[in-house]
Amino acid sequence: MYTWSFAPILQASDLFLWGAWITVVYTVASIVIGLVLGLLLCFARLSGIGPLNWLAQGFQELFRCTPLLVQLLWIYYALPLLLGFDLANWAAALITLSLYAAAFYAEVFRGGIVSIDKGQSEAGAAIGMSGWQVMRRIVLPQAIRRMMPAFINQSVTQFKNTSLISVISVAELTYMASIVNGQTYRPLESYTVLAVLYFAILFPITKFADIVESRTRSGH
Amino acid sequence: MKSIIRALCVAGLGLLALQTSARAEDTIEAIRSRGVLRIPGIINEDPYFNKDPRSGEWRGFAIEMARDIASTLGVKLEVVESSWPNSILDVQSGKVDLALGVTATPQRALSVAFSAPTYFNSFVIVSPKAELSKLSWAELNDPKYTFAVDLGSSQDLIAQQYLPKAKMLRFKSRDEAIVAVVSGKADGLVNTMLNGLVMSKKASGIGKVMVPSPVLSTPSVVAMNWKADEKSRAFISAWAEYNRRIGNNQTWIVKSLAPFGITLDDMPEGFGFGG
Amino acid sequence: MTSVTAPAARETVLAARGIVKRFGTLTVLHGIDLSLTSGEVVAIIGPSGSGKSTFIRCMNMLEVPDAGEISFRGRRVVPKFRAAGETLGLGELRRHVGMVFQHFNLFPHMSVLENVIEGPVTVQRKPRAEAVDIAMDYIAKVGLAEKRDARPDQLSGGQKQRVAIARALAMQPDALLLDEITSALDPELVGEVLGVVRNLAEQGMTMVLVTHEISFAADVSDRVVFMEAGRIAEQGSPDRILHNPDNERLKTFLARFHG
Repeated sequence: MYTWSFAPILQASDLFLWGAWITVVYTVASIVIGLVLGLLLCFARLSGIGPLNWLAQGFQELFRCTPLLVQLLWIYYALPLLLGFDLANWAAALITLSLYAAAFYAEVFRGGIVSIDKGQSEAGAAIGMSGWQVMRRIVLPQAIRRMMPAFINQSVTQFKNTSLISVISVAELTYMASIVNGQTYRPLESYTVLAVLYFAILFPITKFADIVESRTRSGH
Repeated sequence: MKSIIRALCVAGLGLLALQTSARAEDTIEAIRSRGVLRIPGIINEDPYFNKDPRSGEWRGFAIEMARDIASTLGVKLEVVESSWPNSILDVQSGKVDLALGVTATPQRALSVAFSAPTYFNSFVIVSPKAELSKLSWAELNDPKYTFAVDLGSSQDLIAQQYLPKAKMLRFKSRDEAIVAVVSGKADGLVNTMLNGLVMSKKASGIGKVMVPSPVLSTPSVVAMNWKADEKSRAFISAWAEYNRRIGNNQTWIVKSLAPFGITLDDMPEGFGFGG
Repeated sequence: MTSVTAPAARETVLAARGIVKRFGTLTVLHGIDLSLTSGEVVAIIGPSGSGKSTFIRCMNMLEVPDAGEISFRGRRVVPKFRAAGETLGLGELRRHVGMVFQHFNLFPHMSVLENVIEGPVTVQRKPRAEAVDIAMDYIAKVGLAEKRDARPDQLSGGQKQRVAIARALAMQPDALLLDEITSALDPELVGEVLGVVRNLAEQGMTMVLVTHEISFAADVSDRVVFMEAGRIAEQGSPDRILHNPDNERLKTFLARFHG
């Protein structure tokens, strides 16, 4: 009969909290970078310039059709060999997470923009607006409202994806659980605390997502 | 799945590494001019490696061995944080100069160069069930027994070969395999002597270390990149041979077990590291 | 009512010459010529699929013709936003030639006032206060002053279309293109919109309107153009076209409206 004992785990709570903090840092950083890159990719897809569109689409397909795990290992181990300089594990993790986010966000943005009725951009054009003015004043403000639920969903996925960077030994939350295991040899209790921490962070975020979604529905 | 992915990565990297330079590298010279010897360090691998998460300090006999090699070469030691499966990738891609505590298998020898053995590691069962203790591999190879093992490890390979009839639960990590035994889902854990000893002292409910007969052991070696030149490989092998024969390796190993309250007396009869 | 014959001395505001438009393998316009002089109101009628909407959208280059030329006050329009020298870019063209759409296309995230000041502020770079004055003037002219802060989804179809007209007028264009602006309206709301158009005609606004409202077209326009299968089949004064047409198909078309 297994006797549960959380005391040794709770003694290591500083490690868990540090791990949670690192997870949040990587999540936020990769979301921000991914957002900017994703927007650029999206505009490349919508630019109407053939090669730009194909390049962007190729990039998206690459990141959407390969497992994140493989991407992490490849960018950490193989890419440096091609480039000729080494990549530290934290850099490889940040780069991979950001590029992955960008590929998916680009699709969210594109979907939002394309869903805006063509008549809107025609009306903007008809009063003499440039393409950029139409995007900035007319299409994007409407598209952002529309794409918000999908954006938040993808961001929650990004958060969970961060746990994978432990495979290249980046000390985020899941990795910390392993460290605590190594010290206490109590994996059951570690995993329980891990699950509780992930839930504690994600639950408020998903509730927030629900609120945003219902506001988007009624606000229009 | 992860092991398949890793195997593909290892093969791919091997090809890639070969393309980038055909010339054999003088690894020793490179280490000396850099002033640093780099090895992969793995957390939670007492007694081989472990890192104090708060101070960042590494301990373990593999670290001791690496420190000895570094001082012989007159350089500092740098430990790059990694994992067991990734340590082969680290060696292949040049992120580290050599990896310690690696179990030599013929397949692995295709991707990296192995030195002479540093010590011999036996395969064991760790179990709370006393009735398993005097049984041989043949007797344990029975569907009425369920064992847990971590996927893709050398003990997984042993289990496939010697316990094909027993029920096997394969887990992503050793931690999960421990949980399986401790919670009663498996009768015992298949692992190696050193990890097993530490585990039996630290993980409550995991039981004792049992060495089934015939004693199966494999050499633990130092892995280096295939591009390492003859001189470097000869040096490492000489270091390994020497320290094994005069018992230094055994001393370091025993010293690393001491913090867990394990002495030579705790080890099963007839077990030795010298091979 | 302006006179039927447009004097040769009147300036040509907008001209289309030899306009051909293809969609894939289908040719929708087979070479249309149309000139619009200052103060003239031209109504384009015809069956569905005749290419009327496609043609009016070519006039402000929302559709780019495959052959032919559009010119504004003698300057040829090129399908680029900004153009050099003698030619006219799209940005400049559309500052002078406004359009009102069948489905209104009001900006839903802006109020009525914000919709109407958008052009003057963002495109003409007028200060907001000046833009608001101009906008309120036109919003009042279309009879919706009290709705200035309303959102489009709070308005009826007729009200939306009147806001759309005010939005186009706020740019103070030289000409207006009206693309079936009552076709999407419930019948009882059509009148309020046509009333606004009639006022504009009386004030001398240069307009092209594509419409199904035949009697209104006759009432308000100087010239009626009948299009059929991508060609101008017949054109002339409203009186002649509607009461004494030559073209057989035009006769059939009109018969539908007179029962």
